[in-house]
Amino acid sequence: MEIKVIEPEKIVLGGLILKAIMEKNAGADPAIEKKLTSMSGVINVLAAQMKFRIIFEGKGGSITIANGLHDSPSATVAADFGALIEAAMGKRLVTNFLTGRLKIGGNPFKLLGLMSALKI
Amino acid sequence: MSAASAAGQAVYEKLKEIFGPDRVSNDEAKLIEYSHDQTEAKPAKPSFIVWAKTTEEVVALVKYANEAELPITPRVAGTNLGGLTIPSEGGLLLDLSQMNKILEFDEVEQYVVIEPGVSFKQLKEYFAEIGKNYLVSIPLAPPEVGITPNCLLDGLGNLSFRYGTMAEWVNGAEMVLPTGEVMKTGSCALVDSWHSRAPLPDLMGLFTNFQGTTGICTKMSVQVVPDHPYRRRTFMLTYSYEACFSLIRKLSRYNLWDDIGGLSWPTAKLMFGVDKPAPRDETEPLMFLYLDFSADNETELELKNSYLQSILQSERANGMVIEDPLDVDVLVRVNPLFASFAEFPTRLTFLVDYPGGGLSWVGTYGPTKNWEEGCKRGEKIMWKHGFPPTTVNRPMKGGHFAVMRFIEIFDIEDPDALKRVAQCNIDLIHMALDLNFIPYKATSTAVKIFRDKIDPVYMDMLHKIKAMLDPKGILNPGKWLLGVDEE
Repeated sequence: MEIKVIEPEKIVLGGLILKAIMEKNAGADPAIEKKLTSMSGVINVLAAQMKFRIIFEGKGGSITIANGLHDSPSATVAADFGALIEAAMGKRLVTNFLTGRLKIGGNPFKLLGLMSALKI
Repeated sequence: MSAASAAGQAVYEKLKEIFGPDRVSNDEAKLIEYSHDQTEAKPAKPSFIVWAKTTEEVVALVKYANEAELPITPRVAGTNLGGLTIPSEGGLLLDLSQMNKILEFDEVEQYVVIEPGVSFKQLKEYFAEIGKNYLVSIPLAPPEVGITPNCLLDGLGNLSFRYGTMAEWVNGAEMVLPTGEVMKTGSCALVDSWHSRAPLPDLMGLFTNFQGTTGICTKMSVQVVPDHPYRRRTFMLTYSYEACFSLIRKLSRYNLWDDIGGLSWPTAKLMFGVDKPAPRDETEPLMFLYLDFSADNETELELKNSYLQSILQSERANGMVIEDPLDVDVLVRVNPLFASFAEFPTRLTFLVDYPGGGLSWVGTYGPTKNWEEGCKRGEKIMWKHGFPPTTVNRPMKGGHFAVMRFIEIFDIEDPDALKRVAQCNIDLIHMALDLNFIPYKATSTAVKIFRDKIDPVYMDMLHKIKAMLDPKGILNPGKWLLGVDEE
């Protein structure tokens, strides 16, 4: 499964990292690919200071990453770099959430759908 | 000189006499392979390639080359990225890669005596085979790179923060002079031990950094150090040159680390498949500071880690923005390409195997205080010529001086790209010299730029040394430009 990128020469590093992780996990597990391609909506990501969005077409359609935030996302996740990596490793989720290092907004179930695709 | 000509045929016969028929070649495909490197340097085809296995063969070659007035260019892997092993057109290429014996390992005095073809990979495998945990400083160069040429070119390695440049690891050498005499320098010149360069007058300086123009090394004693079982290699993201380099200078004051360095953001983009990135978004990390430290036990490792944490805490309290350290094994889980930073020697495939085939750089040694300005100016120069500002920086020998290196990858078949790289490198050299940085593994282009600025008595001495050692000017002409007929 290939995740598209809008203006790949400009995409922020956080977007590239997320793309790499999602592609790797989806490639290794068809169930993850199926889950991702069935999701619809936009998830905004604030990784440290970097801002980008993941656009899910849904119904087996494409997934695209682009710079900038959507005005009406389905969900938002914001965290410093370390907290994001820890989240991807399944570590300190609750601690980081309670201490404000990891912030979630919008529909948390959309993010749950993404979690398995972001594991490292 | 064509092998088909009478003169060429005479040379061929003589070379076969010295090396045997199997270790002499004038095969066109081979000549072309040896005529170039990955840089923008102009290719030049040798007339013959020879592979030496013994000092005696090297001596015989050099004596013959003097009689016949044929230039010789020595090489092992040819990956120096400075045109330094591109031969003279029609000259002789001496390949030393088959001269690859590890002659001695003295564990008590901690050195190995090696032939010039011994690579970093070979030495590491040797220690693994004999069950000994020793290592030498290893460069970010392909594993087949020779240790001896790397030392003679005074490059840097992953222990250079602690121990200095590669030449610092040399205890002495056996050198074949351009006239064919064999000379030893270091303790081996007097006693049956290769343990140091002191206390005799140190003649390694006649060969180090002379780009192979004053002698051919046939044996070298290289220090090795014990490896430690516990190691941590970690990366910290920073958002300004000031943050990165002031943190590097601060860390340099602690004699706790094996390696410190700063890689600029295009390296990360390259590892994620973006080889022509647009200028960086301000919200993105600018520099990736890496830190490598080792220990004999977990307590020592944790103590060093706690020093790191307290330094970071102190810098953050002063307003510095630094992300938490990310261990390389975590990064490997994000992108397997990071494995190339996990174990040395390594092959940085995203650089050396770039599809365009072109790789060039300007590498310099200079004062750490000018790092920030150097990188800022270098960034502008690189963008001006159409290259993202890929830089590698390291503090050397406890932070006593800095490495500042700018790297270009390009399509080597594209004439426009070759011109841009050449001009970019010229501009970078001028800028570096302006900030007191000096090119290491200096190309002939760099030599042409700085030779008129060099202390004239020093320059005169270099000429005298070259004339004394190589009166016929046969050894690797066109590099340091010290020969009488070299422009």
